[in-house]
Amino acid sequence: MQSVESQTKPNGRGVAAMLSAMIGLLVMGIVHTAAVAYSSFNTSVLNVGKLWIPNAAGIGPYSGKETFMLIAWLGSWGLLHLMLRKRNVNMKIVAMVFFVGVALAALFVYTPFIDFLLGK
Amino acid sequence: MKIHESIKEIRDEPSSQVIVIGWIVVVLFLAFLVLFTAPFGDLLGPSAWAVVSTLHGMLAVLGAIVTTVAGYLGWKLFIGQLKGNGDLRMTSALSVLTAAATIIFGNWIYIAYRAPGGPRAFFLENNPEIHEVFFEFKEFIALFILPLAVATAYTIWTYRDTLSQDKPLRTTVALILVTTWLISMMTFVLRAAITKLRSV
Repeated sequence: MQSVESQTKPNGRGVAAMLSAMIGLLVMGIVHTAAVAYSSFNTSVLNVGKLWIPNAAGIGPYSGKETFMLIAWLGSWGLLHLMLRKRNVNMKIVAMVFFVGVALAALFVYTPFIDFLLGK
Repeated sequence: MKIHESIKEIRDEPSSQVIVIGWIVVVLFLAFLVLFTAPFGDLLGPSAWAVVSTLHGMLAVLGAIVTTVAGYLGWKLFIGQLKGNGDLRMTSALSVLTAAATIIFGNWIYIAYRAPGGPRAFFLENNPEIHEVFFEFKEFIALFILPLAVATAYTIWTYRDTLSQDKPLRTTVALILVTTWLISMMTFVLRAAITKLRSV
């Protein structure tokens, strides 16, 4: 009886947690690449970090990039949780989107790839 | 007569509680002895950042161990050999704690890394690739561990023992655990190599 019940337990909550983690990392990667490309944006990113991280000036724009990651991660988690918590989602698609997203996020923080993108 | 002898034998043997308490007393005694007599200041080094960097390094070591155990349990989950997931729940929660603490201390020590005359300035002057490629990659990839660890811990704690019955979800969680372990190892190796080249 318990196994029947558990088989029908929607996977949406888990999916929301996983996809939001990927979104947070991807946003951080994109923000980092954009900050490398545009110095004015880099300054704005630092100002975002200064809003709440102690000694943000000491760690530079990294503080803002962390902030963007946290906002994108936790914000999208709340949203996706509300949307998916009672639903069953195709895990094959979720896993594919998740791992492609994480791989892209890793590329967006890898300097030779950023240089390639920006034609440096 | 035989029963009487065996009862006497049991009475003569110290209980496991006594052994554990005795062991704790001995370990605490030795720890205090070492703590108050060993020159720890010399071990940490003369840097003003010695304590912060030591804590960051020790948390990173702990994180590497915890993610390795989680990765192994993730593999067992992947092949369907993990029946109950109590150990995995505990390890996944520990992964979150160590990742968060390592990042907090990492942020703190990053101030010293970026300070004028610090390792960053040294690398940019002598070997810019160390900072621009390896350190930059390490500082961001280290952040990956936290959201991934939180996502897996949340899923494992939410679905508890029913996780093993949902194969697609179980497989994805297992793969994320193994990915987190790989990232953790990558970060750890880069961190150790960079610190070896120039520490704060």
